[in-house]
Amino acid sequence: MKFTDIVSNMNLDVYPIIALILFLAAFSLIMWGVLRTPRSVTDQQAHLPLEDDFDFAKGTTQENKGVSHG
Amino acid sequence: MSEHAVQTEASREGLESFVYDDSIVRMFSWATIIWGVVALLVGVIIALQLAFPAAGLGIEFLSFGRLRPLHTNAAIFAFAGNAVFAGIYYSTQRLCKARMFSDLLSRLHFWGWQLIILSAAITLPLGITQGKEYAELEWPIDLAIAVVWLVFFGGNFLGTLIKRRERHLYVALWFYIATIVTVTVLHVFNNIWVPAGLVHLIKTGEFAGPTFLMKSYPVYAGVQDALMQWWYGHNAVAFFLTTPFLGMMYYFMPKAAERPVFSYKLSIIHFWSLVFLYIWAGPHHLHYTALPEWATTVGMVFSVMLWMPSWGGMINGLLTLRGAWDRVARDPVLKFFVVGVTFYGMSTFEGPLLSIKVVNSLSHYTDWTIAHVHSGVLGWNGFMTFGMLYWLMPRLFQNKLWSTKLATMHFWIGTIGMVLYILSIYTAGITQGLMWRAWDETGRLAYPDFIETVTVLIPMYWIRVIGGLMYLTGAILALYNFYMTWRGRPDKYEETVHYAAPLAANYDGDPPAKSRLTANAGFGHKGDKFLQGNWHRNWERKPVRFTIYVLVAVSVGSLVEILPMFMISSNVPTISSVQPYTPLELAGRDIYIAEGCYNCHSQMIRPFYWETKRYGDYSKPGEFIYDRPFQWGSRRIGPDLAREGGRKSHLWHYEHFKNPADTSPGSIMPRYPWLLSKDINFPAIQGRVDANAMLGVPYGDLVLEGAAVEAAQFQAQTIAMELEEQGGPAMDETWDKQVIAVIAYLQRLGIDLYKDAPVSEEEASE
Repeated sequence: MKFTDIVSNMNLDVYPIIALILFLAAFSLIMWGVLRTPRSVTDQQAHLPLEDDFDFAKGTTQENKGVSHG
Repeated sequence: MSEHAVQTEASREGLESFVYDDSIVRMFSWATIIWGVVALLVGVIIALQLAFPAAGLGIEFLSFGRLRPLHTNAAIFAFAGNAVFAGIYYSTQRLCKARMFSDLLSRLHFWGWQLIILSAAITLPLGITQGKEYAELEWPIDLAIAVVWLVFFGGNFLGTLIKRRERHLYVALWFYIATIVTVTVLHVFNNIWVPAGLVHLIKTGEFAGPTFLMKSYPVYAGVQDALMQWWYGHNAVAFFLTTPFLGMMYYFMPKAAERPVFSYKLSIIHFWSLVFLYIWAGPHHLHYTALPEWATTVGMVFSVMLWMPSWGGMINGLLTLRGAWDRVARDPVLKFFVVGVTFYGMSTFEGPLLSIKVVNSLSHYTDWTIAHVHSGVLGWNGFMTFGMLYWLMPRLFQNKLWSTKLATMHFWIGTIGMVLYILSIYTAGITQGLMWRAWDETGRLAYPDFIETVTVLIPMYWIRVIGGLMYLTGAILALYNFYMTWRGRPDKYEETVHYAAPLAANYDGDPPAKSRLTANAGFGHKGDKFLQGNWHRNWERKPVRFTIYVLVAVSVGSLVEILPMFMISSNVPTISSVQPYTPLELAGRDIYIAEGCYNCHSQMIRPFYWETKRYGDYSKPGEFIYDRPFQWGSRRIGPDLAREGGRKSHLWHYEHFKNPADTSPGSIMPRYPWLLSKDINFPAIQGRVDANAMLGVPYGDLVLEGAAVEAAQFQAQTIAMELEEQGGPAMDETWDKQVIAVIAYLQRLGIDLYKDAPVSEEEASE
């Protein structure tokens, strides 16, 4: 008996549903984790691209003119 | 050292100094714009051939079927690919506060990638191709891609993350991680093949020509090959043309707008949603084909779910410009970014729309898909690339942009050209789809002659040529602007020395969360700590672990779709009358693939009245079990060929290849005079049969030395004789020419379904 015969005879109807539940569970957890992150932390993280370099096009370092919305 | 970088020695205590490697960014930026012009030029040439077929000049290296893969590969892997590398090398160093891990790996990556592009530019016009869209490059180049991408690029990138001096991995870096991981998985699993020419050389010591040496057959066949290919094809769009550009959007838009991304939290949700959802969407390319319906339904549902994160990302990008919209009018960089992100929104709205089955029944195989792809690549990838380059070039060349006016002119020429291009092709696609399915009051097809559905498109094709020319002109203006900016560069580039503290080796993350509960048991306290969400912030600091999580996310979707297709035999019911191709038909099939016929002809009749009426019985999964690679195609500007066998005489096919307009007035198919003069590579036929036999095709005694060649010569002589009897040239002139092999293949297509099943010896004796 081949492995394909075994799999063919298994009822895999529930297989995509389990995958969907796994996806939703992981997604919900990540959403929760993200939404729980304090604003001050995400603000700091969002500013990373703006504090990294000297700007040759302007002759200055880039200035932060805004705030992240979380 | 620049003034701003001078700090007191005291303040530098405990800090490490480093300089960013911008020369590698300059190299990739130049490659981006130069290859971009090449890709667009080839695009204009093939667009012209559709409007004016004689433009191919009857030269094999310029034929549409061979140049179209060159155009798509150049646009994706040379133009967009080099742009991705330029953006990643620039932003990663700055986000990590570290020079790239290895200058040597950076250079090996650059030159290796350019060599791969050059190999593509040589092999594709020569007809050396795997015959799978966006995965055409043959096995030696595939191996080179694996090494350059994973070892040189991936290794260098991961090394940079590990030695970084910034604890938090900014969201752009996550998108880059997803790109590197997923493209590796896609490339490896879609390119598992048997190198037929190499195996033949090792086995027999016979060298059957350089073209055959590069020939391979995929281990997957038919339906399984189709699923793998579109799992690859769709996710190549997702993880080569979307995620790295989103990473670049999240880095370069804040830089250009001089304000942080609108919502960092939304960017995190955008990332995980895309990574989880995109990988499932591939089968929507195969609606109503012989792929099992459950697989296409899963693909459709996940595609529709993609709407939300894609638009979340688009809105996040556009709102990053809050308070800076006045600058959009003045700054060409922001203009390109705004239109680029808008096109991201439009094409990610259209993609899920096209994945809905009923819409797909109209759009599939039409130019609508081509319009969709071009709105994505020209609008999203192209304009994000140009925006990034206009922002980068002055900084890289340490000189003001030579002409802002010229850049603005580029923006307007490019935008108008793109709109002309896309609108004309939308019109063409919807026209095709409606004409194919139209029938009259008697229940007959309103446009039974396929040519009618093509000639009506010619005016739209001319508008496309004009639109494409305008977009190309814009890219040439950019090239000139960059060249002039480069000319004004300083004698020696200033290299700013940066200082940053190394990351502490014993950092354990944020202080552990404390339970806010008072009366619960241990489990409750643990749960409350978990719900405070610190664990995600810890992930974000651990690149290796983060990479593994991304790999798990993309693997789940892939395995759910792919494994059942390979493991459940009932998904592809076999048909006893379907037999392997004869050796000559196999050789003819390989010529069909080399000429890129799949770029215009499908081989998949969908179960619709208007399709079965036009082409015959709908295609069954079991008909393709010997098709390596599958040739279902993705567009029809020539008719479907799934049941072409026996429909027309050998002479008709012969004359058709000689000059299609003679047999089909109005046809836009190019002439193939070289098929009438080039010899069949008979010595290679044994190698072709042997390689297929290795993959399980029951070729029986044909694998014996010389048996396949003998059988092929016999069949070629038979067909040539029939051709002569039908009024064609003398048999002696044609029997060993390539056209005979292609005719043999075409006459075989789709006829096995109606044959009796072969009788075994036991049954015969009874």
